[in-house]
Amino acid sequence: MKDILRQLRSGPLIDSLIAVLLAAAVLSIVVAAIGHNPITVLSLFICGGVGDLESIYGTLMSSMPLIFSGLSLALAFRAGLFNIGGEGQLFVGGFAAALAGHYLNLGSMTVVLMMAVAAAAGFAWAMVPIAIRLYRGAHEVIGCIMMNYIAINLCLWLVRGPFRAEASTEKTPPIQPGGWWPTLDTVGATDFNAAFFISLIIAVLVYWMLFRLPFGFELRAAGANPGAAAASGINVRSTLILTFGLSGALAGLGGAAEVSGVFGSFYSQFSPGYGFDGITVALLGRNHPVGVVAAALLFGMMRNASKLLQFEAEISADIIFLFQGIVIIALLAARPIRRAVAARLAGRA
Amino acid sequence: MRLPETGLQPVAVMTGIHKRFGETEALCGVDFTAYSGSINAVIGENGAGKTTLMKVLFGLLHSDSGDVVVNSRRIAGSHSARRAIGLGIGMLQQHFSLVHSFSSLENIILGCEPVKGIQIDRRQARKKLEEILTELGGVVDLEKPIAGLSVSERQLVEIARMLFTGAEILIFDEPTATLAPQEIENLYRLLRRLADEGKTIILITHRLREVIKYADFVTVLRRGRVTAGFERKEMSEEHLIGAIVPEAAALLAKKGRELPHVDERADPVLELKGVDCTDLAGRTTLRGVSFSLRPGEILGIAGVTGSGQKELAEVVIGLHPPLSGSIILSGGEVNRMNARDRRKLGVVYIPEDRFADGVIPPFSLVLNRLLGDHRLPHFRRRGSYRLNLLREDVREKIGNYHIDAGDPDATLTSLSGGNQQKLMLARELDREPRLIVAHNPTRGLDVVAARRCYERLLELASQGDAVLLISTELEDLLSYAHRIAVLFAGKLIDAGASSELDARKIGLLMTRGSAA
Repeated sequence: MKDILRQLRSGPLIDSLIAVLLAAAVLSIVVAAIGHNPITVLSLFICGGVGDLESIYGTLMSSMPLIFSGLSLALAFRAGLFNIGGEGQLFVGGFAAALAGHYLNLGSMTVVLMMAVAAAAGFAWAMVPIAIRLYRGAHEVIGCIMMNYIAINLCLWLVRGPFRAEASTEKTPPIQPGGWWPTLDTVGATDFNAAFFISLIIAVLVYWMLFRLPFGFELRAAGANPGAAAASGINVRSTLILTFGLSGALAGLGGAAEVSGVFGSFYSQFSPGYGFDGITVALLGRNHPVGVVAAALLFGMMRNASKLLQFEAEISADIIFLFQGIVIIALLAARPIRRAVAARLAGRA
Repeated sequence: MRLPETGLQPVAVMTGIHKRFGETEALCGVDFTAYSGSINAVIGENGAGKTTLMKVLFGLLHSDSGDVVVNSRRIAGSHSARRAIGLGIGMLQQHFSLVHSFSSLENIILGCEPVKGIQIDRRQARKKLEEILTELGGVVDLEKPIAGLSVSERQLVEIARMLFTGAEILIFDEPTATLAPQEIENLYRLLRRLADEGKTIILITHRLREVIKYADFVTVLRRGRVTAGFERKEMSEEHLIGAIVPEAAALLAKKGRELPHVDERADPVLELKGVDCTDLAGRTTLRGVSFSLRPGEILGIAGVTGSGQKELAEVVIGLHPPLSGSIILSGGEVNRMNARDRRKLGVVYIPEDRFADGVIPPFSLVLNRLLGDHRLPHFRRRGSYRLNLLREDVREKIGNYHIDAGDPDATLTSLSGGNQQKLMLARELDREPRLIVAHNPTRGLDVVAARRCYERLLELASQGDAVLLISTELEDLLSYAHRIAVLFAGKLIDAGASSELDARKIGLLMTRGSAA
């Protein structure tokens, strides 16, 4: 616990807070410019995000896929790699999980099997860009983007064609009852199930691996200084391959969690771009599992509240994407601001 | 410091400079003056504040208080490197700041490109540069990318760049650390000529012999304070050491311990037989290198920088397989064995450039100490790292190796360069090695720390470890190695027992490949 605090206490945490405040300030100006009261909007965000049990459940379930994709990106960033292919890995993971969940029945273990299949699919999908990078020198971002197109369009074609369950919706056949994560509570129309806790458990595992296990140390060393890592006996290439595969597996798990926890099948609209949102989540969370969960909860809350915002104030839900974009820019501004303030304070003391 | 009698002008005058980094006081009230037409040396222990002081002068750091006056103009708080260049100050940093894929010409004009209309005027730049280089007496292909130049050529490019920007005050931070003896002499000849033309040369170095031989004035720093200033005629090694580290004068005056005895009949720890190597681009880096190293033996490898030293070290520790030939470690061939497994056999490595191959600057001291030992069961319990045990170990190393550091969880960058080097030495040498591959192990260490480093190597050798000591410090090779071999364009030439060699003979082998 002390170590987590130590890791968070220093500059990065403050930078992230500054970035969120800055982004909120800019958002307030935008909201005011289109004729709304920023205070009202803020209270709607809070009401819709954590106002009652139903909205809290909604917030947690909206954060869940963001935690998975945020962890996926953070892991890759720690090794100096940019896994922008999270969306594609999420699609293949979700699709593979949906098929496994429909055709294979292991009773209550079906859901575990689905997670394993999704992780394997995500892992495999991530192998292509990292192999091209390490053996042919093409940057992994290019390979990832290409693999995203292939994954998304392949899955969409499969769900619209061979695996379409019914004419009215673009969905695969439903998963077995044992493929669902158990529901823990239901308020109104909102189901709260164990999928959220699975994401937290995975975050703890990622933390443990990154900061307590030799492999995590090796991947961080390979990311921070490949030369020193190699000279001390670390096989940098295989470390990067495994890291990228695990990053893909985490993204794939996010897809499976959506299938097992929210939709019960692969649905063509099942991801509004979670794989890409993971970039913002990881950056705001400073590539730290605890930070990633915190950032995912923030964005999850805003997403969940955006319905209320649209309904009550008629502000488009897209405003949260504006917020996400501003956060990234604000993160760049945060460090100089912190330094300047610190220098001013030091001067006064 | 007393004023010299001659009519030299004080060009840069710093008074009462204070600078803190968090808890540590890097500079506390330093006064420093540099005179035109002379070579002004700044010496002191690791972490004494030499580089910090010069960074303040060059505008890379802001002092907390104190005055900087350059050419009788007081520089206010808003000093910056850009303004420093405008005032005619140039600084050659320890780690060169050149763009490797750019040509020399592009590197030199970077930041002050002469323009014609909206285009860069390459022709004019070229003409001016050729004039400067002729004046410097150096030959550098201006169109060749920096990556293809030797260290001394890169240095020449850096000097040309400073002169191109019109620098009158030239600061050199450890310029001779990686040069061969002849190159060092050439550099000082050049510095002397620049000084004679009226330029002000400021020189940070650890090499007292060079200071005594070439500097006009010397300022000694110790823990952020000036402890002494000498003029040329007052300089002696004894005086300088006394001012740098009074308490260590005795240690240094003591004659070095005897080289450990080597049993000629013992089986070699390491044997290379006809090892050839190529780099990624297919260029030959090592040609038919053969030698053997017995327990307790220290083999010194000399050579001009870039003659295959790094490749030799890396092929021995297992980063690259040799193209042909064989590497035999403790009697078994290890050509295909990876670096991790060779480490398990007791191979440790002190790389030449710690930033590239030795440490991870943004990581803490603890994690830097863990690097390479991170698979040892000793440091883990139920899979997890035992961080408290590691912290304890780092504290112990801080004490044993005289590392100027407090918190084991501080980032490595909070340490001065020499202290980072000491931590790396501690990590590698405390690993119970069988074979130590040390490439410029004292790089960035002050006289005392360097001496301690060699004492430790001798101690390990006397316990039966074999040492492959690759160094550009010929004096050190002559005093601490049993035998010396010279790398010349990838070929290893046996020079014989160090007791029968001198620097001149090795220098000839280094530059010509033969002693004739």
